[in-house]
This record gives sequence, structure tokens and C-alpha cells, in this order.
Amino acid sequence: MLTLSELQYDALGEIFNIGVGRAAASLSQIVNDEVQLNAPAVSLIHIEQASRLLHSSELQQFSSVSQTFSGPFVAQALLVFPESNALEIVRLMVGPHMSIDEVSEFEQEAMCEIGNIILNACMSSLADIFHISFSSTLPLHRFGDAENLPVLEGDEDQMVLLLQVDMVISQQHIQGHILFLLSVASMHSLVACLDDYLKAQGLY
Amino acid sequence: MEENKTNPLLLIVDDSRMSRMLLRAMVADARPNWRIVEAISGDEALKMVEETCPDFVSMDVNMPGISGLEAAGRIRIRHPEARIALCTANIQESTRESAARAGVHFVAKPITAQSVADAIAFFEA
Amino acid sequence: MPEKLGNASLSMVIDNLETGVVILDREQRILHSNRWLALRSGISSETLSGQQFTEAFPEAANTRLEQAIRHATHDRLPSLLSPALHGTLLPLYQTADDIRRARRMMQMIHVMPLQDDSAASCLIQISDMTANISRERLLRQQTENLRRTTTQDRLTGVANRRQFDETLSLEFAKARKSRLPLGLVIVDIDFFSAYNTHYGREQGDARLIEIAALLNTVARPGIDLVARYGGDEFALILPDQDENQVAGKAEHIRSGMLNLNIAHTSGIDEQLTVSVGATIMAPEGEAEADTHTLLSSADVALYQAKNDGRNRAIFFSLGDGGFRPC
Repeated sequence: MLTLSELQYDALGEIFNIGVGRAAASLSQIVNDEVQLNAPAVSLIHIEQASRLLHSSELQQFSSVSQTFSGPFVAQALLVFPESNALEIVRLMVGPHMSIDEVSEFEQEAMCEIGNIILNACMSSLADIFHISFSSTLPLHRFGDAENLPVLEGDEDQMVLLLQVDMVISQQHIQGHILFLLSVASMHSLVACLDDYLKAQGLY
Repeated sequence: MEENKTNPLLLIVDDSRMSRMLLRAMVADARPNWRIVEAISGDEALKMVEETCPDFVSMDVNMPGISGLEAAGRIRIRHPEARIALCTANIQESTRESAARAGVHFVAKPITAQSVADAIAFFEA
Repeated sequence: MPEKLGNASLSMVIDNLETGVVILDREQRILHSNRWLALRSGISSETLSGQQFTEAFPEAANTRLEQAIRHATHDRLPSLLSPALHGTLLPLYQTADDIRRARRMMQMIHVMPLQDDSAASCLIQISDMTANISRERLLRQQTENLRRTTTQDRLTGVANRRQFDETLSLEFAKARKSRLPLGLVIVDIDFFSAYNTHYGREQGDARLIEIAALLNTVARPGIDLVARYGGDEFALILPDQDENQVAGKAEHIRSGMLNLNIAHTSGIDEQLTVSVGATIMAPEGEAEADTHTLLSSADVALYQAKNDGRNRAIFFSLGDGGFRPC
């Protein structure tokens, strides 16, 4: 099974933090308030572990946004929040004045855009730093429970790059995850790009 | 605090090893005479500053423990002559403006030759 | 299909779409826009053609839309702008009556890269979502837009963080010019997250309102500023006060909190208490002084108060770098 070195993990963590940092700046601009986004941990796991992780969380309902990026490798990117967290994010971004019903009405489209901002930022960060380019599908929002998250639709051989995401809006702390699903071949390709970058920087 | 104009001391504070290595490599390349030390957190940076005050500090904003902003603030109180550059990907316009007013310089991440040149120019200004 | 239709017919198709279409080149100049857009913006395709998008639509500058366009032209990534978050970004109207009443339509905007060798680099599609949105929602959204430009913290009514930052810069500049000292006090509620967990958010919010009221009694109306600095932090800007006056106010706040006698099972002495950090600065006296240093000094004093056991007010003196209880 493919494993990453400490330096490779560190580099990926740094790259994704840059991505979510940029996303935070965009989100701040929209709500005219400070937004912080942090990706403190990145891990490379097997698709089984990923679905077990999500299955095991207490809250069963999820709000997810996905985009598939194609370039030197193909990655299906998913931003996943427990439903109550997603509702909270939308409430904070759309307007704390609004009733729960109104916020629910907005949830799909607002989460779709928020997911789009975060996922685009992560992948464009990767693209900028590795000097590669991607095309992507439009963001797709889905509600679900742990049973029917896209993670399980994947092929058993898929690898998952899992990021924990910490968000702070209006002093509220909200947690979620980003998953990048890649085939083994795509994962190898990603690691090759990463290694090329580290070599070019003289870090190898 | 020692002042050594020919061999300035730079403190790099970042929890990412890759960032520290990258910054060190690029600065060493541009300024081979600078002395460079590293800290992996704001707390460690504060301890190091108590012993020897650096001339320049490159501080990551996003770290576990005390934030880079807070650490930068504390360093500035004790050593107002130290030049601090804060590194972040999240530079909101309002932050940039208030930072400029406060004399704190923001350097955009990712660390590239350009952003390093930018930081060096600020340090030497 | 393209071979059978020919270019002129494709143009006709685009002009008959029930969606706004704008095509940009790599430099974000408008190559083509359709009739739907001309009718709803009041600007003809000919006028729009050749202009930079943000020149033709200045309110799009420095917004998520401009960024989405960059994502499409440079990163080749698609973006979506939802009505929920942006609503009425572009100046588009359904009817002449709407123009008169300045009632813009609710918009959903898609920005996509065009994978082509030709000049066309980006496709913007605009859909009218007004029909999908209830009147109540429209009104709420207007209230929300108003809220975003407000200077008040919505819960307590004191100044919000943005107002605080602006006022601090202003007062700092004033103090520098008039050569008068400027005081800053930061108040942090001890073990507040434990309070919220135990008694619930609603109770927590009620306490915040009470504490804000307490701070208002300490502040000089029209001169001092009370602000909500963070989730469980407040700050006071105190122009033209000496060390004793500022320290006095800080202690007044700390003991005032005890007098409120708010029960807190996991608080100090089973009460809700605050830690207070205070400092003053005479701006013209310090060469490298700035608001950041002032904030850090108060912050450091607060840190010391917490460190020393909470439920206390500590003053930090920039002059000698020393701490003393208020």
C-alpha cells in the first residue's frame, strides 16, 4: 500500500492550508466578516477506513459538495459536513436574522457555492504549486446519510486523501472534512508531481 | 539584544517543516551571510527571542498553540526594533490595510522566490 | 450539429436563450453578450463588446464574480454564484418598473472555462431566480445586506469588531496629534465556554448582554467606546485617561462583575468572573508605536491576568515593561 514520507505529508498539508487560506479570504469578502479556515491534519487512507470514519461519527446526516478534477491525475473531491454544521455555516454566511426554515431553503445552493469556493481553492493551490492544470465538473450538492455518501460508490482500490477542516465564522467553530478520492494510478501520479516539486525546490 | 550589521539574524517560525526548509534555502541563497534559526511554534519563538533577539522574524500566521499574530505582537512589545513579516495565504483587504498601518508586513503564501524577495526588501528597508 | 447550423444560426440561438450569456477572452474583455442581457441590463451588446467585464459592470470588481472569472480564465475551473450568497450582484432588472424602483432580479451565475483554441476563454451564464424566491426571503435578504454594513454587534448592541478597529486607528491618530494618552482595556469572560455548555447558549447570550450593560456604565458616553472584541471578549477604548484612571476602570469592571453575582458551577467561587488586561500608551512618546503594539500590550496584560488565576485586572506598563494589579 502506498505510504507517504513525513516530508511529503508536510508538503501536502502546507499546500492544502494555502488553499483553504485563500478560500477563507474569498468567504470573508462575501460576508464582510472575518472567516478562518484551517486544515490541521492530512492523512492518506484506504476507502474502507474513510467510510468507517464517516460511519462512526455521531451525526448521521451529511451535507456534501463534490467536484471531479481531471489533469495529470483524476480526483473526486468532496467537502463533507454533518448536516447540522452545514446549516450553521449557511446561517452564519447568509444571515443570522433568518429563521431555520429560510436557512434550510438556502442550504443547498449556499453549500454548493461554499463547497465550490473551498474545493476550487484547494485544487488551484495544488495546480499553482506543482505547475500543472486541471479541468473540473460543476459542484454538485447532495444530502445523505453515511450509507449513501459517494465515498462508498468508489471502487475498492481507491485511495483517499483526507483533510480535517476547521472553520471559524463570527467566532463560531465548525468542523468538517475534505476527501479526495483517487485511483491507485492517480495517487501515484499525484505523488510523482509532488516529488518533482520537492526536487525542483532542492528539498530532496 | 545584539546588533550585528554584517550578519543579521533571521528567525523562521512555522510549524511546517517544508516551509521552514524552503524559506531557509531561499534566504540562504539570496543572503548567504545571514544567520538563520528556526522555531516550530509561537511559544518556542517567544522563548528563543528572550535569549537572543533576532533582527528579522518570518512568522507563519496559522500555527497550533498561540497564533502567529499574537506571538508577533508579544515580540514587538519587548523588541520594537525587530522586523516581523507575517506569512499567510489568507490576506483579506481589511487585514492588509490595518497591518500596513501597524507596520506589520504580510507575505503571501505559497513561498516563492518573489515572496521571499519581497520579505527581504521589507527587512532591509 | 454545428456544421448544419452555421455561425449565424448559433448566434441566433444564443440570442433566443432564456438565460444571460456573456463570453470573455483571456483578458476578461467581452467578446459577445446576448439579447437577454441587453434587455435586462439596459446596455446593448454593441456597447458591451470589447469592454473589460469589470468596466462594464463596476460592482463586480473585487467580488467573488471577478475571482470566479479569474478561476475560469487562468485556472480553467468552473464556479457557481448562488442567489443565497449574492442575490442581486449585477444591475439586472425584469421590468421597467423594477428599474424605477431599483429592484434588481435575484441571480444565479455560472462561470465556466471554455476549452477552446479560439479567443473565447470564459462563459458566464446568468439565470433569473426571482420567481423561485419568496417575498419574505427577498425582504430578509435586504435586511441582511443592511446588517453587513452595520457597526453594531447584533446581540449586545455595542460596537462590533470592525467599528472597534476603525475607532482605535482614529483615536490613535488623534492621541498622537494632541499628544494625549490613549487607554485600552480588554475584558475576557472566564470559563465562558463551560458556562454555555452547562447553562445553554441562550443563557450565555443573556449574560453577554448583561456584561455589555455593565461596561456601558463604566464608559463615558460619547467619549469611550465599548466593543465586542470576540466571542467572549469585550474591549474599551479610553481616550485621554492616565494610568490610574484606566487601571481604576479595569478594576471597577472586575468587581462590578462580582456584584452581578451570576452563578456558574464551574467558575471561580462558583461565580461568573472576568479577567481584565489594561494599558495606556502616549503615542508621541514611542517612536515605533502603533495600534498593534497597543493591542498587544493590553493582550499581554490579559494573558498575565489569566495566568495569575483569573478574576483579576492587571495593568501592563509599556514604559517599564512591568505588570501590576489594578
